[in-house]
Amino acid sequence: MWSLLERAKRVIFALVLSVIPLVLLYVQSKDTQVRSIFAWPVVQAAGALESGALTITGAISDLLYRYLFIVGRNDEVLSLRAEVLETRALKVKIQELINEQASILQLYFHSPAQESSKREFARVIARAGAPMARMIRIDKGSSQGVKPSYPVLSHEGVVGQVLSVAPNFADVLLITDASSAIEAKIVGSGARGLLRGITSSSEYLMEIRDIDGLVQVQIGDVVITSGQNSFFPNGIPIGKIIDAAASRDGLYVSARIRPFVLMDQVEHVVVLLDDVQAKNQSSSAAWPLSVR
Amino acid sequence: MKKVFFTALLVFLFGALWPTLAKSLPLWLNVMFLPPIILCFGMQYFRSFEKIFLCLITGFIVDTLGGFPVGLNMLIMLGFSFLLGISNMFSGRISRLELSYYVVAVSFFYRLALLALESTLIGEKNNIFISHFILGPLVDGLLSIVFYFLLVKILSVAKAMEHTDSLRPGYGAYS
Repeated sequence: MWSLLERAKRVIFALVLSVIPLVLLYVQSKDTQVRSIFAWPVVQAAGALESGALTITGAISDLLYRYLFIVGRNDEVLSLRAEVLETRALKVKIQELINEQASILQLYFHSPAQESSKREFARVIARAGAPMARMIRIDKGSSQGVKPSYPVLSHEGVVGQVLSVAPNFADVLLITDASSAIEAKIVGSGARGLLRGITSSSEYLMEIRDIDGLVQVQIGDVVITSGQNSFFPNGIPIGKIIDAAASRDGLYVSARIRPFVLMDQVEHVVVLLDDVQAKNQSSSAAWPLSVR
Repeated sequence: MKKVFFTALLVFLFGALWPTLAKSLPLWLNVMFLPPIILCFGMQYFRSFEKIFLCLITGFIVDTLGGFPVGLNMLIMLGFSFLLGISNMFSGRISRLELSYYVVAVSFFYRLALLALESTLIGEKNNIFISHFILGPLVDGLLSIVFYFLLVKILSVAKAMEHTDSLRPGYGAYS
């Protein structure tokens, strides 16, 4: 009898443990912001590791680069080569600094966001997430005022939205992720629609499926944020239409869009810190997780 | 429980460092996914309760680092752990190399399950494409060889593998 009870106790304990994931999923389905509470310690620790790894891999590649160029040379060639390399490195460094400065100035003074917006500049430290997720990790978090759902931009346009935050790091869901959805409009025709990321193994793409069939949509048309039902301010460039096709009944047009931002090359971003959620409280937000 | 702790630690390290390396990988090649690798190792070397804790902890890490709703991979890992347990697939003598073949198969079905659950939770869309089902399991299988080597080394150094474990087929001198 006692052994039976003992066995039952273990089974009950196992069942209780097995229910944990269901409870977590249920809680998140009620309030998507809860994810950050669960995720922040892991994201914070992972972010610190990634930052360190980035520094180490950079140093190693520098070392390898130098070694490969220096090894096997005689002294004279070595000194000349070193001098040339040093000069080149300095030149590249100066160019990089000039580019970085220009990029930051552009972000600061010519960002498509509203001029009154509060911003936080961040560096992309990793392309985070499992292979199924289109996410980046940035080196700014809740300590700097970043909160879930805040818009993330680069000087070229929309990058994505903050998914979860840790004190010093944050995960950003790219606009090209299939679970991302924001209201967008096409410049010129003014047609609006829900812009979603689409699955592609080779490039970052998005689509709008529900454009009114009466509206003229042309390849090359620019797509911008509509500012409605969204956390993004109006008028931020998103991308360009690369192809469009009408539905069978001709009522709707669907268009594929290539983002202006080169998602796999973006190094610096800016997070808009305005309380966009409060601003758009009356509208139903197109926060990706709400789709879930 | 030491085994669970060190395995979870390695999962965290892999999960955290991979994205930094993946920054320079093309999209179609960035298909590595840890849960199937962990599942197969857990099925072979972990006891029932250790398996449950392993699934919960590593599932949690994968969910938080991978941008999934927290609980999704925990749930799938628990489900697979149960199904693989009753299938008796891992009851025989399996070497570490053979375990990697199992990883390929488990990875394929795991991704299918993830696709199905994501479709029901997210809606009709997700980021899984064809290379996840063809290249992904193969990459997981190859990676598991390195991962298991590291994991067994770490567990041995930390004395987390008990004597009875080392006598089990497929481990240590018997592999």
